[in-house]
Amino acid sequence: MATTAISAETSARPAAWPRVLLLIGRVALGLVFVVAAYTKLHFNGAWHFSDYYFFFGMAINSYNLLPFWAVELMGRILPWFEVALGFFLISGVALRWVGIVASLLLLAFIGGMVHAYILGLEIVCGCFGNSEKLGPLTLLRDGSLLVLALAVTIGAFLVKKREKRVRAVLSAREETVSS
Amino acid sequence: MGLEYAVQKIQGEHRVKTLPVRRIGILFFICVMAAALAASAHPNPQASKDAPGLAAGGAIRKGIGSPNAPITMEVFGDFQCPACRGFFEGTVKQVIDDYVIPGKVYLVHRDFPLEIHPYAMQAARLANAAAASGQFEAIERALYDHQEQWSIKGNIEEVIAGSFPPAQFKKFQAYESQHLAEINASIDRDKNLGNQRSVNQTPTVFVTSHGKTEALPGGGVDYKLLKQYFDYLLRQ
Repeated sequence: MATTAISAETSARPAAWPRVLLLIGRVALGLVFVVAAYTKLHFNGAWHFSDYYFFFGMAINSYNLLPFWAVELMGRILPWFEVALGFFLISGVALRWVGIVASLLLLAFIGGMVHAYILGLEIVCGCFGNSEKLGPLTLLRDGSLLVLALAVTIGAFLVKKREKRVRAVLSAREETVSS
Repeated sequence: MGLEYAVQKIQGEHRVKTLPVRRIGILFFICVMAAALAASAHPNPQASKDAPGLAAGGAIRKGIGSPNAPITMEVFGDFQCPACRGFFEGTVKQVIDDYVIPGKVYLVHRDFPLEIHPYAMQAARLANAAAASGQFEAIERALYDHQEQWSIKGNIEEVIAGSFPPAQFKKFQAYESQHLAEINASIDRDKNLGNQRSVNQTPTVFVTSHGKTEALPGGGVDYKLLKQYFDYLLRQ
């Protein structure tokens, strides 16, 4: 009887693989953002903490999408924003909201890239440093990253939803016991 | 049973750990943003590299301005490339006026004729011949200003001849025919240098200052951003 009860309990435990997949997905996406930031801060064989924003700003500006002030602002803050985003994704803090932000950011990147590609602009992608030309491969790669970001976001919401359901059941039981 | 297991997980370590991790996350975010502001405000005294030789052993000088200027700007270009024309008209001309003429920037042209442009090599030869006579700036302007006219049929000499006195243009033509091997060698040297530096599109710009050479994003750069970068380098 005891053996049957233990095996029944074990089989009824929630499957671990969704959480594992979510962990792998968010860490992979987080690392991509950290690497993207690294290539914007370290290139031509040296760190560029004091002048990275000129180079990155030039890459952003080549898309012909943003006004000059926005180019300057994005050039300065985006690499650090990517560092923070990568950290949050790897640590799993506020994953649902960070996932939404990452998805929106990637969506904005892809929008800009598609726009430039349709216009036939021969520019660098600016995604991972300044040496990569914008083309079908860069679009495919960023598209895959967007799919990953969306999967992480949806996964984070589903896991949270389940946790909330469990909490609700628990509080209902506590109320029953106390009454 | 499964529900109880999940409840235990939530009630146990998970609930206790969530709050501090969040606080750490917020603290990290604040630190990163503060570091970003601090880093962009203070120059980095790190990293110094030897500048590559600009002469590259070539006898033909395709530079504009003083070689002693504190900044050297090398442009790997193709005279038939529309992006190079746009970069020349929108950025290089202003760089010449604001930085080359006052002696702050030495502008160097590097030939990087692309195979997709059938008349690029022919234009580069003529430019080298003019450069040998000290007329590189004039021929560069003429080639880019009239690119749309000669790039269809390749009638470069017919189109460009009008930009120079006949005697001077004949001199260019004579030099080209007499020194073809030397001219081709000069172009090949530039192309090899471009390949060494992983140039994969035109225009590609390299800026050398304080003994350090940096590649700018390929495809050309807006003048306002380049001006900011030059001013930053000159302040160092």
